Amino acid sequence: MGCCRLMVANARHGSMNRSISKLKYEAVVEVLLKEGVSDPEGVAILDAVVSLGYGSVSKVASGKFFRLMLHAEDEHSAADVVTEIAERLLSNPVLEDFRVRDLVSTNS
Amino acid sequence: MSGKVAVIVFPGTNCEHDVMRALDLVGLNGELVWHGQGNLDGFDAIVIPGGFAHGDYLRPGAIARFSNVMAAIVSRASNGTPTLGICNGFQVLTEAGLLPGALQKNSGLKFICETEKLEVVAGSAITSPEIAFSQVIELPINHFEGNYTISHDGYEELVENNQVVLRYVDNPNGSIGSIAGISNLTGNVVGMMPHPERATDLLLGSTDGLLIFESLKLRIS
Repeated sequence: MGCCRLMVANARHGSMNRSISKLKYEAVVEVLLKEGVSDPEGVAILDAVVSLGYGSVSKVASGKFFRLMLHAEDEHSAADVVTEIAERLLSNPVLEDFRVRDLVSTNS
Repeated sequence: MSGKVAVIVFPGTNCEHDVMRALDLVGLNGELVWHGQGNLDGFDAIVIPGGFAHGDYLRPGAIARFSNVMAAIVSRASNGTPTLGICNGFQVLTEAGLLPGALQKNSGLKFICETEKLEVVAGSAITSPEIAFSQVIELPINHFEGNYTISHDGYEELVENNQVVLRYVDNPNGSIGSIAGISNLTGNVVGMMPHPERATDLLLGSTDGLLIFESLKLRIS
């Protein structure tokens, strides 16, 4: 049953990029503001952290975290797809940097 | 020309009726156009009003860029159709790549809702012909992400090519060069953070916004 469901999902993905994908992957995309870009959320959180008594903390940077689940032929093509999505949608290159991390195969 | 203006409505847009009223006041025919529509044939100009298109999810304007209507806006704007983005509409135009740079969060910690003095800089943009060069007008701003940002080289290019349209007299949000509005190279696409549609009646404190819409009208008739 699980196998059939996987095949349907693969067929759908395959029609998009003409590849027959077999494996499931998960990846995390982390988006942070570039150095020097205004981060009022980070500043407000830093104020709260210091108010709690953690005077040793000098900076808090706020950002975004996205977990993507996808099918891909191999780890390399999974990383390529996730990187492309991060570049084209998840981040704005004028303001933000991104990092793809924790790319893992989730096939059991 | 019929003076027919497409007023684009995304889920979350909330200034469309103010824009419709302002267009009416200067004798233009506004028509609300839902973002799912993929065709803007028959319109003489396009206005993208303020609000929170698609809830500002991800970043302001980031999701709106993928609405059906955007392909039509990009195509018409690239062919010279006057296109004005106000506040969130400015953010949509930068995310869509029709205008350079980006709007980051205000340099203070605050959302700002104030009337600001603005210097009119570029006389060649669609929003300028009715306004004297370096005239100071007053328009309200109402934003959290209005801090215009671009690389140093990008800024130099904007200045060199007369693409800076409006500058704040007292920079309220940290924008580079006190920029409140810019145009594309040909001047037919303009994005501005201030809300001209909210300054169209003395009861609201200023009628300077009408100058923007009258200028737009001059460009399409």
